[in-house]
Amino acid sequence: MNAPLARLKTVAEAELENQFAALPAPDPWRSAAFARFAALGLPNRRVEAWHFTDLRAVMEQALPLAATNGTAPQTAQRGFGEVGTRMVFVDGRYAPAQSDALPAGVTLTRDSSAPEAHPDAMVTLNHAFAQQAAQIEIAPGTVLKAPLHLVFAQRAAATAVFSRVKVKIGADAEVTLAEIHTGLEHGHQVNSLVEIEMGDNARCAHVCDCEAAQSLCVLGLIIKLGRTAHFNSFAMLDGGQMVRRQIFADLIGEGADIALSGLMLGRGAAHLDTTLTINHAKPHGVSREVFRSLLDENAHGVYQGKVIVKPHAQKTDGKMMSKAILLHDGARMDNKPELEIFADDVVCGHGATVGGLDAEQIFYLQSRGIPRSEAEALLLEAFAAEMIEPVENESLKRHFTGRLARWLQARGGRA
Amino acid sequence: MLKINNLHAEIDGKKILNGLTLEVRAGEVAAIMGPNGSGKSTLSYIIAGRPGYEVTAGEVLLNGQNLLEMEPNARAAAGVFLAFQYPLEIPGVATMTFLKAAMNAQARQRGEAESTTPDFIKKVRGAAKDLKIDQEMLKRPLNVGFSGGEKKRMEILQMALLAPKFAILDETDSGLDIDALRIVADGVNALRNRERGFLVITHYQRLLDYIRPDSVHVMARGEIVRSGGPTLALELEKSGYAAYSDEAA
Repeated sequence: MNAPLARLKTVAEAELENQFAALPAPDPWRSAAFARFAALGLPNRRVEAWHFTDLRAVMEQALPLAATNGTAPQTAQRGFGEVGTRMVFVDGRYAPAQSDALPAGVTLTRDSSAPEAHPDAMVTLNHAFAQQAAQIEIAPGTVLKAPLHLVFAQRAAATAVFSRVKVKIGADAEVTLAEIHTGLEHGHQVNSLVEIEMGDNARCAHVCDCEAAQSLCVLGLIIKLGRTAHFNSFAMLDGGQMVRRQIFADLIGEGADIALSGLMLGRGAAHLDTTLTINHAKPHGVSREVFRSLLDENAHGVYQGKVIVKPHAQKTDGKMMSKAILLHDGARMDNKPELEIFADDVVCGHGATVGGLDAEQIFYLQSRGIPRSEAEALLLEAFAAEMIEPVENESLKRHFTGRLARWLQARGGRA
Repeated sequence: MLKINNLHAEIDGKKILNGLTLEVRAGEVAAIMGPNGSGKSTLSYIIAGRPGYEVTAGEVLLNGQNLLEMEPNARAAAGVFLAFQYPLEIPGVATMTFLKAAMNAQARQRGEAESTTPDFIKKVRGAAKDLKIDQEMLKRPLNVGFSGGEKKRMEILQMALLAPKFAILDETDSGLDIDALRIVADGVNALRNRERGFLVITHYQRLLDYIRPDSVHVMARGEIVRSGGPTLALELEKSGYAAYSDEAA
């Protein structure tokens, strides 16, 4: 009577299975990863970390895998700003002809070693399908003034793209990494994974830009921080059918410091999700998570942040804040900040707000002669621009400021 | 200049103004005094156009123009200025950006040319100097982290730059020490002229030692219950508001 029922596969899950079976001789660890994925299935609302982002329901089909060779259109290859070294990945594969020469202290190799098994289904699916993991190594002590641009470009066809890049930042090295997802206007399914390993005292300023247009994107970021390593990141996500950004950070060295921030700009029926887990494993770690969302029309925003403080991670200092402004009755935000603290000598806090624009502030500006639509635009820009302000690299900051201005402009003077 | 006729207003069904009538002529500084809860701030907000109040009867005319039919920004462009009792903090908007937006918006609505950037900066610097406002403050987000006195001086700076026809000062003296009060009062007095009208709302007589009014009106229970010359303020200072409070009614 209680015989277990085999879980019914969705069309997309069955297609993924067929696609994987058709791959020519994948490494055994890739087959093992796919088997783990198949057991988990596509993430859905019953999986706690995916409760608000039901990928199984949204992903009606699995698009065909992108062909293994190709050239992205020129427009999709540009990084942003003129300053920096571009490393272009076309449909997930490194495209040397379209990339710049690597600066001294930076090497790129192909890595086909088995990755550590990951509990998340979409990371696991990436491990199974990503055909080529690129490994970028930054030698210890290397200080790169110009940013490294990781440009993920897609060709003009609705395909599935899996990309996996590992970045090893040696001890005492300093780098600015710009992760740019572009060419997404043709309805791709993107599963990207960036894994960053930071040596002791390394510093990394990271930005991520995803103008997802009509694509479904799952952007994974796995970070391991060594002793007194410092990682900060700003991400701008907008548009699209669905963007899920998930960050898994492990502070494995004492005194590591991580600061994650982001701006989600949603309109239409966009679904934008930032989900992160910060794991404080050693004492004296610092983590900051500050995210803001502007949601218009029927957009749906999700922020989930979990900060875990392990028993030995005394003197951990953690703060998390998510604020959203809803610009329309149809817009919605789900905030879920969580703390799991197993140490007793820590300072941790979190907060979340969802609301409209402040009516008192609007009246104050109006009372000085500023028309309502202009007052709203000023306040929205201020709310969002405060997130961009800390980006240190000027060309990257200009890029994001321009993107924000265009997004606000497209909104026009509507109330 | 400003004519308020039989103004009745309520908020959430609660009556605040009960047939208030008042006239302020061009060049006149009229003071309104009254106990807490008499509706003084409500009156200033209704003139400026703050949402949330329901005007059930009456009118407010500025040089014959009915303000109550206009958006708050249109009222400002027509010459109304309210110095807030509690100026709002606007994070992320630099004070200079805000000042320029306000001046340009008013110029646009009046069909005037916007001032050029060098001209604008010169004006702001001059006005800031008079009010002892540090240049650094102008780069900071509007009112964020400003002290009470700094916020009030910033209100007067805005008034000086926007050069309104009619200015309302809502409890501008509250929270000011004597030095700050003097700076603010000097700023206001410098703007007095034959065309400009002022409505100075205050609970205490002290402010009126520095900004000498032409007329004093006592407000209680949402209407003007007594009007007189400057000596009325001194009289109130002695006798208090007991005669006008609800308990005495």
